[in-house]
Parts: sequence; structure tokens; C-alpha cells
Amino acid sequence: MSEDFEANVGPTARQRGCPPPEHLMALAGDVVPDDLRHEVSVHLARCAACQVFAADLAGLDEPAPPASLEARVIGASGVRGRWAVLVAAMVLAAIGLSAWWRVHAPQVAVAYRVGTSAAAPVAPIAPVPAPRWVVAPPALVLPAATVLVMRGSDPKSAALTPALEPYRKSDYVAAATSLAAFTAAHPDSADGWFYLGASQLMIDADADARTAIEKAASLGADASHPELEWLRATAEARTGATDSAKRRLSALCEANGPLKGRACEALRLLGP
Amino acid sequence: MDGFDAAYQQHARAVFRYALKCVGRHDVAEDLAAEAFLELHRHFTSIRLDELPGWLFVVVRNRSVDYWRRKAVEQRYLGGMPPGEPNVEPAAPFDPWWLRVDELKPVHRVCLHLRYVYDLDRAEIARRLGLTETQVKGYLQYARELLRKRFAVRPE
Repeated sequence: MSEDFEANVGPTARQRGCPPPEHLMALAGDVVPDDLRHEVSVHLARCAACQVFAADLAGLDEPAPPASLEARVIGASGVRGRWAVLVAAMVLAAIGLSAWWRVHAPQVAVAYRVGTSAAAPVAPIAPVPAPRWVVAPPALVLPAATVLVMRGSDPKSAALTPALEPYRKSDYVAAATSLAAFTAAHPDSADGWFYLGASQLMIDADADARTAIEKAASLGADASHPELEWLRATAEARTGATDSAKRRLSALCEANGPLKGRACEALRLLGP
Repeated sequence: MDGFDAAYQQHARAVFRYALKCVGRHDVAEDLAAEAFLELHRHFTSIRLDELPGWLFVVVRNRSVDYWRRKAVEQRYLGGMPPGEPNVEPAAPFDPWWLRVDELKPVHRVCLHLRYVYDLDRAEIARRLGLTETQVKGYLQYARELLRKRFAVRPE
């Protein structure tokens, strides 16, 4: 049977110049360098097969962390004393060796540039990003009025509860997806936009986060979410709107609120 | 369970999935998540718990940027070498009809595509998708069997 199927498959991905599957999967994140993102996007625009394949990759079940990850992490951290140093060194050496091997080992489908020769110049590596700081996820707090309505039959509030479930579990990748669907159906939900923006910020989808948080602000979410200005300033700083971010951070830094310390530190990171 | 173990149990899933989103490969994502948690362990006494999992995401993100930079260097190096296989667009149109077979789940279609279009063996597919080789073998067998039945009734 496999021979029958292979005979009907057609050219391989390499012959067709299709990008490796990890490039298609990573396109959803914002870490892929701009030149690579551009190349893959150009290919995707003209390759129906890759469009369908990318959709299937995105449709795979959400993965659980492999058991070997826990063994590596807890195993290394659970041993104390001098053995801890030895085990940690061995794990780090294994990681380093693994990373070295991935860089130097032969790869499948490495030369897939579309419409360019193998000798074409490679675009420069993306510049070092602006200073970043850690953002804690805002606590899941909904206004009392919303909570009361949620117990009733209001369809918007009823839909928000399951959409927030991944956020409650600290699964921000899934939360960004569920809340994006929620806000598409309920574009006037300030809470929906706020937690969508927070989720996107947690997974570094900074431009989308900024849009969502601005939308939340325009709907008056700042009244019930005191962290909104802090998140908004963070999203602005990450997307290049440094002046606006500084203004918001200055206001937070000068106020005696709970975010004063973090805002002042962020302001210091952004520089004069 | 100490504080670090609890932090791992609480955030491992989200950190791993974020790493996977950044690099697109299970095996590399596991490396990045492991590095992030080991980094957390080294600095555990100086990190506030309310900074998690953001702190871990930042570590993963920075490591991911390094990973893609290394890949870019590799690409640049290989780009200057003679290609092993001509990178030409085939004359015949390519129609991966098996990707439109609704009776198959995405994981079946993805395994088929990786095996026969990307020419990866079962072990490599298993590594990339976070499956066992037995699972991949089962998915491929099921998918091929279903397609064989489809083939039998295809009007050709």
C-alpha cells in the first residue's frame, strides 16, 4: 500500500522548495527573524499545499510537556550539595551538545528559498530588541456587576467564563486563542479585550497585545483593571512607542500605587 | 513539594507550549523549557513568584532568539555551498489531496505529509511532534489504510 501512496504523492517538499515544518509552526510566534518570516510568508502565499499543511499543524492537539522534561528539570534541581553541581553541569553539557549538534548536523530541507538562487545574499540578522522587563499576569478579577450578570442568562458574560478558563490555568497561548474568538463575537467587552491583551503580552505577541489593550482602554477597562496602564506602557515599549510608554510609566512612577516600583524600574531601563 | 517543584508543576505546560510556538519543534522546545527552569532554579531565591511565568517566558524568548540566530548563521553558511538537490518548481501542479480527507485527523494528515512529502523517517517525525515511534507507525498505518479505501473509489 505504501508504494501505491508514494507513487501518487508527487514531488517532495525539498524539490518544491517548501519550508521546513518548524518554520510553518513558528510563524505563529513573533520570535522568527523578519527575513525568515518574509520568505516563509511569500512561499505560503503561492503554495496551496503549504497553506493546508500549516492549518493542519495548527490544528494538532495541544501538547503536554514530555515526561523527559520533568526528569531533566526536577532531577537536576532535586539533588543537593556537590552532586547538584555535577548533575547540573552534565545536563547543561548535554543541552549544549544537543544545541551544537542541531546547528552542525545535516538538516532536511534547508535550502528552500523561493525565487532566489543559493548564492543570493542573506538578509542581516534582526537587530537587538529594546529593553524588556518581566510582566506578571494580572489577577483574574471581574467587576462585581459582571459577576452578577454571569450568574444570569446574559450570553456575552456566559461566553466569557469558558473563554477565561485557559487564563485561569496560566495557559496564555490557549487563552489568547479563546479570548480572540470571544472578542470577535463580543467586540464591546472591555474585560475580554483586557485579558486578551494580557494573554498576548504574556506570550510576547506584543503588537496584538497593544491593540487589544488600547481597545480595552477605549471601552473603559481602566476603571476595573488598575494594571491596564502598566500593561499598555509595556506593550508600547515593546512595539517601539517609547515616548508614549515613558509618559505612562512616569505617571505610574510618580503615583504612590502598587505598581510604582516596577514602573520606576522600567522607566530606568528605557533610559533618558 | 518545595517551592521550585510547585512552580514547575504550575507553569511547565504553558512554558513548554510557548517554547514550541517560538521554535516549532518539540525536541528544541523541550531543551528551551529545560534551560528556562534550570535558570529559574539557579535564581529561585531572588525571583518573586508573582513574576512567574512571565520570567520564564522571557528566558524562553531570549533563548529562542539565539536559536533562530544560530539557524540564520547555518543557513548563511549552507547558502554559499553547492546545493545537494536542485531547488526547482516542478512542472506538474502539486495537489496534496490527502490533506483534504476529512475522515483523517490533523495528526494523521501531518504524519503522512512529513513522511511522504518531507521524506522524514518515523523516528524524526516522532521527535518533531513529541510522539512515540509506535504512535507514528499507528497513525501512518491507519491513514494509509483509509486512503487505500479512498483510492479504490477515486474516479481516475
